[in-house]
Amino acid sequence: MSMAQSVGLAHADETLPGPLLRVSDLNVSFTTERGTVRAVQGVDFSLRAGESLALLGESGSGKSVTGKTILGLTGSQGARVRGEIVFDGDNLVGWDEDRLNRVRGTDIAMVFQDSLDSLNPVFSVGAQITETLRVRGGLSREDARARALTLLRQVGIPDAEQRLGDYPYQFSGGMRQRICIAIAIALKPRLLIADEPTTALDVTVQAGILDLIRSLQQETGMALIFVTHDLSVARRVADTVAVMYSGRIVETGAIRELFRHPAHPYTEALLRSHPAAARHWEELAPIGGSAPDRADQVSGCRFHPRCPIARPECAESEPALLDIRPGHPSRCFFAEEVLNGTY
Amino acid sequence: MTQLRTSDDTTAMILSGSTVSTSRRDSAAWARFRLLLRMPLPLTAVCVLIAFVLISIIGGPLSFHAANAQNLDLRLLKPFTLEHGWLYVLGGDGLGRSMLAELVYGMRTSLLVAAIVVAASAIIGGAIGLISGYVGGWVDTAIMRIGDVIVTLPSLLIALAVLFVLSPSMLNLIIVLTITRIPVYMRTARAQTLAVREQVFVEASRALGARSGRIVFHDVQPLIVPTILTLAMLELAGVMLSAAGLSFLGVGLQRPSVDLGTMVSDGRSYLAVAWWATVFPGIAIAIAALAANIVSNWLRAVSNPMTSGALAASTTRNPEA
Repeated sequence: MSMAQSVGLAHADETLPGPLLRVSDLNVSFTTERGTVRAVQGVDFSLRAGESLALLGESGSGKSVTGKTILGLTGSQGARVRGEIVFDGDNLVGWDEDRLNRVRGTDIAMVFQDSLDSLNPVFSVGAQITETLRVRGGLSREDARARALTLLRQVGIPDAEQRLGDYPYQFSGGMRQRICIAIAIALKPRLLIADEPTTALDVTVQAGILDLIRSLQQETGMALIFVTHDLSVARRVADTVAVMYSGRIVETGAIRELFRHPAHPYTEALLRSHPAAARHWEELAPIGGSAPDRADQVSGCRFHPRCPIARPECAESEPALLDIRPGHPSRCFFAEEVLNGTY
Repeated sequence: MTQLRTSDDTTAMILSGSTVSTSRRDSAAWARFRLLLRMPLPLTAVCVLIAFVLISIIGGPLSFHAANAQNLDLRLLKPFTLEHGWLYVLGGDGLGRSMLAELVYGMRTSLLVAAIVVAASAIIGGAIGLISGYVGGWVDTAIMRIGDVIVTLPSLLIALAVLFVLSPSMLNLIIVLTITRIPVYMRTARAQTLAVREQVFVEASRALGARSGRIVFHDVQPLIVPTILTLAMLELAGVMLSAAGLSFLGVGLQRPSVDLGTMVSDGRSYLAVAWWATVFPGIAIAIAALAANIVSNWLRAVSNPMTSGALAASTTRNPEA
């Protein structure tokens, strides 16, 4: 994996301050009984303060692992991490838990997918928010309570004062996710990683949560990494999208550009398989087959067995991630043709 | 319409319940106590246990002399007669000692031994199991294999060997019983920890920068304690009987100390002629064990916010219905 493939926002003009987060050549592998599984391979991206990036991909594409690895959460699951995760000038890869703990929560925070499970069932939500504020934020009991109330109001919990003493099971899924967001932003992190926070929610509730995350991000100026498999979700929260397939980034681009002019057959297939396409009376086109279980088993381009435009050379060597237009790289030999619709 | 109304009523009830709990925020224990007052069965069980403890504390020292005073004229005296004074109202045992005094003193010893053994083994075993389950790896394997060794050896055999070398005394009895009981809690706590530590809120806690110690004792522990508590209450009766077994073999408590188990085994030789020498202490053990079990069941229900909310709702609805 050559570093020349470094892509995405790093290409923007040099006068702006340096990126808040720069991930370069990130490789994450897990040792299992069936051998080494390379979950993430050579992922590069960077993010400035206030920017929002969506990691888009189907199950097993390595998007969640990428998100968790930034916080060092995969280390305890036996992951081997190579590459660089530079946050505010420090490379977090190889840090021990003690050093990581100083960054977690205060600099980088995370919101998880399952809102019921991400709150401890035996403590009231007030206790869980104030605990974070008191232990990590050093606030007094009264100050923590006052701040907790502010946070709950900020994330849109009605009657926050009365509900501080309630337990997680007394809240609906959407409300619980709002509480998780309140806890995540309690210490004013500079980067929020949201790992499919709306997947377990109703579509109507989803929109509210997404708008909340977006507005909080704009208010506080924090950067956002949004891990999702849902195109319409990505569209709602992200400035930039990195599409992942089988542990690799296959295409990156500004959201409008990428949605209007996909330059990778996988992205194009994703767009055509999304129900939103049906609104325009287009035929829904599911992607045939399934993502490879083990990325190493596929030679050449990882997507070629499922690719509608695959040619013999696709099985032989893997294309590099190259700029098709400025700031819009794609990992396909025929990116130009896909972009222009001339294949 | 009716449906709407009932759901409104329920909401109102839940709402009023939550405001009560917030205004009484000073102690969750108080809320539990109020809840207890509305539930007859657990309330009775708690009262029985408290009564037993009070009898032991107050009556124990008073009855020590009487429990060891032999009057061979009153051997196997039938119960329920005041002819020989109220001390012999429950009859006499094989050596003409007052059953009543023996019961009171025996209750004190049994409760003391059982309470200390259960508390010590639950705390030690629970903590070891929690850490073992959370840390995992070779630490976990080593700890659990040591636990297996303790379980494999018949506990009575260990106890016999240890108590034979050390002199039989109440302290040694407590130590030996504690060691043999630890694996039970260790395994339960470990199994629960293994399940809890995989939950997202543990990862979420780590994502907020919580240290391992905090996660173990602050996030995981509260979910383990109710199970351990229930188990401990169940073990109370078992420990009483184990202590009795050791006393029967002559390595447990020695006269003039006596516990309920000793009384049962002493009385067994007279079972055909004097049922009361075994039945009375037996009933005392059974009542204590039953009360402990009911209390444990209730504790488990109230220590879980979900079931305690349901309990509160169901008990408040009853008087109005």
